Amino acid sequence: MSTGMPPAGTGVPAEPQPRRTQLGPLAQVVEVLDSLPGGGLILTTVESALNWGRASSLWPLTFGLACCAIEMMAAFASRFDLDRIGVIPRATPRQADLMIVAGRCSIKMAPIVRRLWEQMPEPRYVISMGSCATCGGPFFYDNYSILKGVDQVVPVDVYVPGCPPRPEALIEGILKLQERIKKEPFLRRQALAALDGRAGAR
Amino acid sequence: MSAAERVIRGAAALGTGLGLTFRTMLRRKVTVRYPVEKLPTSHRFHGLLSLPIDPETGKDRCIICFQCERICPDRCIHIEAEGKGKERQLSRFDIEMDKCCYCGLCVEVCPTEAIVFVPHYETSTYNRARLLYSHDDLNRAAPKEPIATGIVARRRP
Amino acid sequence: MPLRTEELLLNMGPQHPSTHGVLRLVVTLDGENITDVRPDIGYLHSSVEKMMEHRTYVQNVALTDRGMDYLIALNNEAAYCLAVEALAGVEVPERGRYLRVIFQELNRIASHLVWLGTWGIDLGATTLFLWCFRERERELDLFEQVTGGRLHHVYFRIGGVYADVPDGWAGACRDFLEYFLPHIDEYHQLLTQNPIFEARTRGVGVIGRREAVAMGASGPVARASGIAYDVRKAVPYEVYDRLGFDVPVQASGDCFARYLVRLEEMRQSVRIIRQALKDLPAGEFRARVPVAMKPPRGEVYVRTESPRGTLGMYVVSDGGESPYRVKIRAPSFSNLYALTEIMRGWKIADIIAILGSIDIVLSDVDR
Ligand code: SF4
Ligand code: SF4
Ligand code: SF4
Repeated sequence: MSTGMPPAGTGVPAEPQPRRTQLGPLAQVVEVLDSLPGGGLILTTVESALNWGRASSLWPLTFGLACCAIEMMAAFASRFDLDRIGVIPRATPRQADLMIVAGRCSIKMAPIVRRLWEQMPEPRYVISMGSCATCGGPFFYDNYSILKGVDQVVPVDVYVPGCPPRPEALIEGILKLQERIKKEPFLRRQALAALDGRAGAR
Repeated sequence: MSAAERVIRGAAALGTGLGLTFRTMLRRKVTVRYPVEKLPTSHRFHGLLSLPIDPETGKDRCIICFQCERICPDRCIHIEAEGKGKERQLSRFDIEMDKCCYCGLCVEVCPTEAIVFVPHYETSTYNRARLLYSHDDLNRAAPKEPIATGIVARRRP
Repeated sequence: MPLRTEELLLNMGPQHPSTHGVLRLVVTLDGENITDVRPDIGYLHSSVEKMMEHRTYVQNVALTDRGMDYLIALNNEAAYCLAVEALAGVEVPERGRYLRVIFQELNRIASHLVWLGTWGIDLGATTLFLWCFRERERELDLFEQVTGGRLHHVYFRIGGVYADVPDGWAGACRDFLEYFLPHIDEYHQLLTQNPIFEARTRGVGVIGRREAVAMGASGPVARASGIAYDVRKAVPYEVYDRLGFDVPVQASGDCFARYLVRLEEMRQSVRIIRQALKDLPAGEFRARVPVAMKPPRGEVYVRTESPRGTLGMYVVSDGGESPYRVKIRAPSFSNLYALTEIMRGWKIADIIAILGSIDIVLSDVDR
C-alpha cells in the first residue's frame, strides 16, 4: 500500500520549486521594472492589487479531521457564513489555496495531509485549527498515535488555538492570514525564486 | 406510476420546496457579519484563561496551592514558587494555551477563584511560541496579539 | 462478442467530502456495481482508552468529550459518569439526573441536526445544511449559557453536573423547543415528498432484521430495520423510566426508514425535554465526591442510548486513582460493519447515500 511518503532514503521531501518556465518572462518584467525609476511604485501598486484579490478569495480545501471540523462547518453555515468574505470550500486540493487542518492528525493520516498539501498549487497557506493541530493539545501526553502538531508535516501560517475554537475564532484566523497576504511581496518573491532557479540551472 | 403522475408529483414537490424557500427568504436573517458585528458570549463561556488583577490588592488572588496544576488533564499549567511562609511568591505561572483544552477543571478547583475564563477567543497567532502565556500575560487577561480585521475596513469607534 | 470488462478498485477517502471524516473505503467495482467494500479505518485513532489509564477519574471526563464521538460529548460524559458512579456507589441527586437527561436529549437533537445537514449536502440538498445549522446554532447558544462550551462541555461530573442552570434558562429552552418543532415539519416538506430524494433513498441500502441483529447494529439503524430496542426503555438509566416517550420503529430497513426514524427521534427528544423541564425538582444537583476519588476494586459495564446506538462503557478499577482499563463499545463501529455487508450490489452513487444514512462518526469508530 502506498503511504504517500517518498521512497526510503530521500528523507524529508524538499519544498517543490515554483514553475520556472511560466514565470520566466514575468520575472524579467519584474526585474526590469524594479530597476527603472518609479518602477518600484508601479510594481508595489500592482502587487497590492493582486494581493487584495488573493486575500479576498481564499479557497480552502474541505478537509475535516475531527471535532474542530464541526466548528469549521458551522463557520461555513448560515450564522457565520464564510462565503461572504470570499472563503468558498473546494473539494479538491487542485483548486484550493488554503488548507484548514481542523482537528487532530494521527500518524497514519500525516502522509496524506502532506500529500494533499503538495497537491495544492502555489502559493498556498495552512491554518492549523484547534489545540490538537497546533501541538497535540489534549492528546499530547500518554499518547502514541496523534501527531504532536501538524507543523511537523506541513508549514503552518496561522495557529488558531481553542478546543474547539469558536467559528469566530476561525474567521479571525482567516482574517489574520488575509493581513499577512496583503503585505506579501508576492511578485518580487516569485521573481526572486525564478531568478534563483535560473542561477541554479546555470 | 405513469409518466403524467410522476410529472405532477415532481411539480408539486418542487412547488412546496420553492415556496418554503421563498418564505424563508422573507424571514429575519441569521447571519452575523463577524468582524463588523459580534455576538455576545455568555458569561460562562470558556474563552481565554487568566489570573485577573484584584483591584483591591493590586495583585491576583493566587495563593499558590498547586491545585490547578494537579487537576489539569493536559498538564499545561506550570507553577513554581519561591520563598517560605508569608513571603512565598510566584516565580513562574505559565499556561500553554495551545495545549489547553478549555475544560474548566482548573477554574473549578481553584479555592480563591484566582484563575478564571475571560470571554476572549480571538487568540490566533502566526507563531506557536506566542501561545505560551506567562504570568504577566495572564494578569492582563487579554489576547497577546491585536485582533485582525483582514481586508474588512477597520471601523473607527 | 461480449464486452471485455475489468474489475476496478476505487479508493474513496480518506479525504473525501462526504465520508464525514477520515474513512477510507476500498471499493471493488464491476462497471457501476459494487462487488465488494472494505473499510480501512484507524485514520483518527487517538488511543483514548489507553490515555484514560493514565489520568484520574475526574480528568477523564474531559477526555470522553474529545476522544470518543465528538458530536455527542454530553452523552459520552453521561456514559462514563454512570459507569464510575456505579463503580464507586455514588448516588446522584434528583435534580442532577433530570439536568443530565435534558442535556443528553438536547445533544441528541444537535447530533441529528448535524447528521441531517451533512447528509443533505451529500444528496445535493445544500439548503438543508444551512437550515439545520441555523437551528443548531440556537441550541448551541443554550449550551453555552450553561456549560460554557459549544461542542465540548465537560459539564457532567461524577456525582452530578458542574453547575446549575442559570435563571431564565428553562424558559429559553422552552422557547427553543417551541421554535424548533415547526422546523421538523419543514424538513419533512423539503425532503419527504421530494421525488429525487425518494429515488435516492427509498429501497436503497436495505438492512434486514436478521442482518441487523447479526452484525450488532443498534440505535436508529436497528430501529429502522424493525427492531424495537432502545436502551432507554429496555434498561432505563437516569430518570428515563419516569418520562413518557415512544421508540420510533420502521420496518423497511432502507435509507428512507433511517431518515424517518431520526426525524421522529428528534420529536421524541423534544417531548422528553418538555417533561423533564416540567418535573425538574429543586435541590442539590451534585453529590460530594472527592477530587482524588478512588473507587473500590471491581468492574462495571454500563449501557446507554447514544444518538448513534448503544454506547457501552466498561471500566475496571484496581483501587487506584485512575482506571485500570476502560473499554468503549462504540456504536458507530458496529454500524459501520453492518453497512459493509449490505453495500454489495448497489451502484457506486448509492455509497454516499447509504454511508450517510448510517451516520457514523469516525472518532467513534477509531477511538
Ligand atoms: S482541538 Fe479539541 S476540538 Fe479540536 S480536534 Fe482537538 S480535541 Fe477536538
Ligand atoms: S482549562 Fe483544562 S486544560 Fe486548560 S489549563 Fe485549565 S485544566 Fe488545564
Ligand atoms: S488553584 Fe488557584 S490559587 Fe491554587 S495555584 Fe491555581 S490559580 Fe493559584
